[in-house]
Amino acid sequence: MAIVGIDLGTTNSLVSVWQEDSCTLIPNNLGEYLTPSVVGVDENGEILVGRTAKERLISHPDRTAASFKRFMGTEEEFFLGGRRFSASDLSSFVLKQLKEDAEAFLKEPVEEAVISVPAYFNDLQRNATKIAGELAGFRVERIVNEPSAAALAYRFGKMEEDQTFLVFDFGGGTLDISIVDAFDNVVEITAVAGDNHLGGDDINKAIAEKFLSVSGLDFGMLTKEEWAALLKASEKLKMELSKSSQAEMETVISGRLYGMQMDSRGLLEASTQIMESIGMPLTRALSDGGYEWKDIDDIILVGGSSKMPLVQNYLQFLSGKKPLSRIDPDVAVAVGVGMYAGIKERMAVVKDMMLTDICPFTLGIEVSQEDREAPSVMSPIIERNSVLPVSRAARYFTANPFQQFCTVVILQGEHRIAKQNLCLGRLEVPVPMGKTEQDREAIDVRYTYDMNGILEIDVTVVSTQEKTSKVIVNPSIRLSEEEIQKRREELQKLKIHPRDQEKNRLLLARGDRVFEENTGDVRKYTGRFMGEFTAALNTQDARKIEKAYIRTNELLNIIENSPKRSVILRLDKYLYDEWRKDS
Amino acid sequence: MNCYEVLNIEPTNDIKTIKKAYAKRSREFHPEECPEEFQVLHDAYEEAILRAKWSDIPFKGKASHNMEDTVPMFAEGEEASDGNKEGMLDGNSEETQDVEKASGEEQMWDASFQQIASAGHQNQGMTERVRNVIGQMHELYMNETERGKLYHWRDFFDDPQLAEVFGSRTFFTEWYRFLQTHSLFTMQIWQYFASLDGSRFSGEPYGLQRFPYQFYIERMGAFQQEKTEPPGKEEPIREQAKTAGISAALKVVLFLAVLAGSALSSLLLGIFVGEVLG
Repeated sequence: MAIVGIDLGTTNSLVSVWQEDSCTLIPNNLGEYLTPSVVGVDENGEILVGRTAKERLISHPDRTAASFKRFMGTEEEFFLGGRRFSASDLSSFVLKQLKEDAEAFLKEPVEEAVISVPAYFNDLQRNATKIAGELAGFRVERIVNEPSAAALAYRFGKMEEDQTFLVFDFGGGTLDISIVDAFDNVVEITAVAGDNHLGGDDINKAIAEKFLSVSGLDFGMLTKEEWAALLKASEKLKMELSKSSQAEMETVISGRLYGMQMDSRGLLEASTQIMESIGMPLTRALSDGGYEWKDIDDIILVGGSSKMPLVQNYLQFLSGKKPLSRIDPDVAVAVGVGMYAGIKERMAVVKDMMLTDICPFTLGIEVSQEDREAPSVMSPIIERNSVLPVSRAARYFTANPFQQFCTVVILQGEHRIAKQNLCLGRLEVPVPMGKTEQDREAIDVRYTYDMNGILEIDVTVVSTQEKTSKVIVNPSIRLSEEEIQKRREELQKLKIHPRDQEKNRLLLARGDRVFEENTGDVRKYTGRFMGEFTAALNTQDARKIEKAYIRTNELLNIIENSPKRSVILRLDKYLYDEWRKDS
Repeated sequence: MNCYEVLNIEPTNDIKTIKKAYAKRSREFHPEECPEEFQVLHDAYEEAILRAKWSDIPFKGKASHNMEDTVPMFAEGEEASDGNKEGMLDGNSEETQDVEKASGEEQMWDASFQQIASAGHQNQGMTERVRNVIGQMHELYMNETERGKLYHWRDFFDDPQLAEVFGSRTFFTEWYRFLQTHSLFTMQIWQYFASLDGSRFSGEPYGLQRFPYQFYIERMGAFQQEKTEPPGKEEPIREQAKTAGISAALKVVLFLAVLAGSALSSLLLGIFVGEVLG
């Protein structure tokens, strides 16, 4: 039985499988590799996943959820159509759909999966991902780091070479930079840095802002629909600028048509801030790993936004190397995960391949300063980017000679001031009281962080050799086997919309969106076309439906892709041609 | 055991050999199966790599986890990092050669990239913070009901944690850009912004021209006045007259009430007197 590899992304998800000697991407039932990570609940209480749900993001914001990967492992709940869902629940719907696609493609049941997660995901988030997989009916064989997977994809066929990669993962809403050292059978992540709120969406916003300031408009004047349409037009402009050096955008605001031209230089000006923000995590990753640009052999591009020539040129300028995009940045991770799944399947070599994990944050202890008035600070024990498993010890002294107890406050974070970091727990350790002012007791604190993200603290009082231990299992919403089973049954009761009609449903959702986005005659036309399409659907005649589908799809394409001024003209021409053909 | 003994190799500065040895040993001590051994192995590997990178440091053959051993390492390490800097300079000169090779168009690009890179370098993380604050302000602005409330904006500018942000140049350029497309504030908020610019923060040291706050204050002022007293100037007078009329009517009513009251009381008094006398 095949093991599939799944790239569960913030904006898009993919599934792949190892077949014979290469990795194959599995298309979904719309024939696309990328399934948007969007889940919606329709008016009948049925679950919608992927493109159809994405089309409804604007028209039904309270019944649709996107970007829920950001909330993996948190207690954040999403209310969709009167039901509560956790991020794991929503992810499980996406995974379930991918599972069905894989089963349809391979024509056999699929039960095992390898899922990729960002390298900075902590145990809680990894566990939530695993739970999502189990809710979808998978046995999750392993969780793999995304940058390791991307590196694996590029290493295929030349395993003998030693290479150091910088994986530049620039997606819709996140930027993750990792340095991956690959040699022999080892794929080791040596540094991770990133920005959780920087991505292609910010570039769209920057273009939209530029558009408004050029047109002399104000954000406050926009309605929700206009803002959504403007963002969409901005994204389209951005995409076009990836192909040509100049492009135009236009959108209707308060009944008037506004337009703007932009070239790649204008795009650079509009997104200066964003480009500046890219520099910071880059230098941080390099310096954390002890690298300079000359030590990096190749830059691997991952994520849709890294397709932008502007971003690629900037990286090339910084590094002096041409970034690799031999594998489409959108699918690089999926290809790598599929390969790993393939390796896993042929058990023989799996032990040979060693993908290590790292601790993405610093773990330390709270200590008071010489000046007792000053706030207590954090003293790091395990530095961020340490390879797991890791065990480090440090010695501390009592602040007061007469104290009988020592409180070890376990901290996680990067801030100097203790309070600004996350407190994971406390440990009270009895220490023998000193006799004179100079009598300070020493304690050794050892932190051990293992592969499963479990932190163990051992405190030894040096003079008595008395040992106190504590294990911190993340205060998680860790579900037991039975709870997962129960939740799975609950979710199974929910009706997933029958997928055979997916295509038509998507078109209806798209029609609704186009109807909302437009005004005047275009709107009237859209209403008419959608009415005709619904009528065709009601005939239940497969041939008629197919014909109507093609026609309506064509018409919607005309509405969405032609300049605003000539939409009506082109529609009329299409209808005229159609009429002539018929008569 | 020193790091090379753990890796099962002769002391060497050849990174490739070290990596190979580590890869070979890690098969025996897989992190999932023997975590403790793996830790020792990995520590040894890291140390060997570090030594190889700073290859000026002679290998002393002592125990590797010894304090005496690590202290001089740092002292010598500084020299070593100087060496690295030279290496970096070399890298730079290669880059400049590349730029020379490139065409004029690309040179222009590189110039703006250079600007972005150095700006990003200079304000070390400030760009992110500014982007963050401006982003939050944008969110607030998009919320139509909360936008006009002055205290929300005060909250931003009074936050001591953001003081550093508001002092930066990056914030200034972004703030002025923000105001261009986010201008539907009430006059009071505009006045507040104007009072901040120059006292709380100032663009002058950066040679930035002051934002025309006054223009917006006047425009919004006029707009708000128009809103409260809709058409023309006759209306207020008539309104005054109306209020005068109302008060006159009120006076009459009051007067009548007083009159009736006194009549009633005199009547009562009459009855009372009659009763007493009666």
